[in-house]
Amino acid sequence: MNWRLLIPLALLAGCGGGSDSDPLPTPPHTCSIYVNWEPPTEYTGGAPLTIEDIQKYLVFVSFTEDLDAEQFSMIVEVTDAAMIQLNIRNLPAGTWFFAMKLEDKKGEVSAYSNLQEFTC
Amino acid sequence: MKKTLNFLLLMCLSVVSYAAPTSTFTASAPTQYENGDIIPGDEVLTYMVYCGTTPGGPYNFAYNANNLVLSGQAIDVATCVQGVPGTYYFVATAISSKFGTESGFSNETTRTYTADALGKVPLPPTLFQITQ
Repeated sequence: MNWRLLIPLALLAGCGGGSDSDPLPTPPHTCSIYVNWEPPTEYTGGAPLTIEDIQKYLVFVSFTEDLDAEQFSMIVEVTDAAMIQLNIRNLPAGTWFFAMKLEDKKGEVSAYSNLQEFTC
Repeated sequence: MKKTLNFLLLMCLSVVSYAAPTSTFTASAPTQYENGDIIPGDEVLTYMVYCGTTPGGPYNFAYNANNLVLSGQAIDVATCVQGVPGTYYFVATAISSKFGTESGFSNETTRTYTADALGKVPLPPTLFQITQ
């Protein structure tokens, strides 16, 4: 065995590429959430509203609870009228506010649903 | 002698109740028959309001409006509107009880019924919640 070659290799191995003293950055904290809802069954005047009347759902995601400010970070359109749950992945850390609307096939849009708050 | 009415009505609309398409109509009573004769004070006139979906007619729906020139007539025009938002067209006529004749149409007036006024805006989704 040639010891004159092993000693320099051992010294290099001890350097270790700096992994112990300089760790890789950790990924940002995110959340995976589920938005759940039930379709309404009536129009404002009391007439029945069925799944066939629904064009799409709109899920609004905002960092402020003032929805009238319309400062939405995301608006998700759910065009499957039968859906009652939406998975949102990689939601950044922070406090978020959620609300929904419904649009019928005549283009009429509901008021906002109740407001939901979630802290990731 | 049969006389038709020279009927100049100025109709206007007010007061639309929520959901039910009810409007109040008013007009001025005619003072002459078509031949120019003065309508006597004891002549009893009754009134009709007609509704249609197209300007200029046809007006396919008729409603009694006997208080039209006295205090205005609130009329539920649901049979004309049929829950469909849009603009509708109205005219009025006067009917002579003495001669059994009906005037021509008055000027046309319009009323736009919104989905909100007709109660045709969908309610928002319910049971809205976030879970992880």
